[in-house]
Amino acid sequence: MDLEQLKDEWQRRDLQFSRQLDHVNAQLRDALLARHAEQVVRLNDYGWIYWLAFLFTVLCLGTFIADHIDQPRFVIPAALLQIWTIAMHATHMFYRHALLRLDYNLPIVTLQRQIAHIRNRRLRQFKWGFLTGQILWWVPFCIVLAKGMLGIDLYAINDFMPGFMLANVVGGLVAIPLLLVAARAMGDRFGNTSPVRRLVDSLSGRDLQASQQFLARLAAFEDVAGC
Amino acid sequence: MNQATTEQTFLAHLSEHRKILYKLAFIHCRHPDDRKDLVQEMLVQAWRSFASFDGRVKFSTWLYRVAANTAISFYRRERQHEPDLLSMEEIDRELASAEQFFSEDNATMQTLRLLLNQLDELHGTLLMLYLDGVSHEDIGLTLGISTSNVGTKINRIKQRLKTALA
Repeated sequence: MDLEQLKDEWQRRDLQFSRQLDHVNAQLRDALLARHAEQVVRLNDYGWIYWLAFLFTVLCLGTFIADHIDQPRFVIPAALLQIWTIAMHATHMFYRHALLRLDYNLPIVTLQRQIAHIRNRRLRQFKWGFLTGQILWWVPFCIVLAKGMLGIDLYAINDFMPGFMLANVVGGLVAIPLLLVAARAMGDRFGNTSPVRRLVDSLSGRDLQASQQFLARLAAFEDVAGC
Repeated sequence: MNQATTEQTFLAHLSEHRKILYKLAFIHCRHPDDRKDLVQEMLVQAWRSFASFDGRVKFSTWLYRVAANTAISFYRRERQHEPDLLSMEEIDRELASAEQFFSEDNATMQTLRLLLNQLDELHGTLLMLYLDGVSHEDIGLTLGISTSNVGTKINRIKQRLKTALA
């Protein structure tokens, strides 16, 4: 069997399929597709929930900073949170808009390369956002939350607390490389599709590596001599 | 062009060429559930991208590009996530037809699946365009590679098929 035989068989079936499709009720199709288009437009509107959460957070932190402007021990952690929140939001919006701006009418190699570059940036952003966020974020968060919501000054609970918080920040910094090493070592222990596996793959850089391999495959595909 | 006219134009073109979506779903997805998700996603993307269709290339070439780009992105997870938009009875029905016509019910179609399993998503798309009888020039335009490169890759796929069957 050769490729021409496959082509003949494929085209024979394609012709039968075309005849079958012609029997479809055109009006039903039009109605369904129009409804489909309306739903797509509505889906695009859900971004306001995300924006509302972001604005609420920024507003709360801004108010907190203004209220404690003469107290650096509160202003600094709140400002750190504010910067982190805005930076994460900005990168998220950049990523989202970059995906929405993609022109799917571009030749496949061109568009897939653009997507792969966006993916690489997003993977790096997620990795460092997660590491800094989950490890370093919670100490300033607890300080601001305790003071802002409960009126408790965590620094003043006892003499031990400032040292404890500093130790947590330092411990978090030390934990980042340890977590990266652990992610590289443990990735294969999780199922291929589990969320934990995806997280571990992102942290260990496997996702990024796969994305770069895809870019290399695109380059090879463009090259006549490539595989 | 107002919205209603745009929709009518899109639907008229799509009506003629929508089998491309089903065939691409067949080429790119092994599992029927994935095929339905992919067809939905290709439809959404085609509608979103229709503003970029300026008639300089044939609608079929444009649709191959948009749909194949969506299919490749579908598996690389780099897309705006769309929930299950709606139960499209028509997609179900037409997919069932596609399953019927493109199922692996004989040695030739089994060989095609065997070959597809050995190809990555880019070569799989190229193969489908070739099987559909698209010219080398249009395949090159769709994929973004030179016409000579298309010929080279098709020859390599032929060699690979021979090796697979040897």
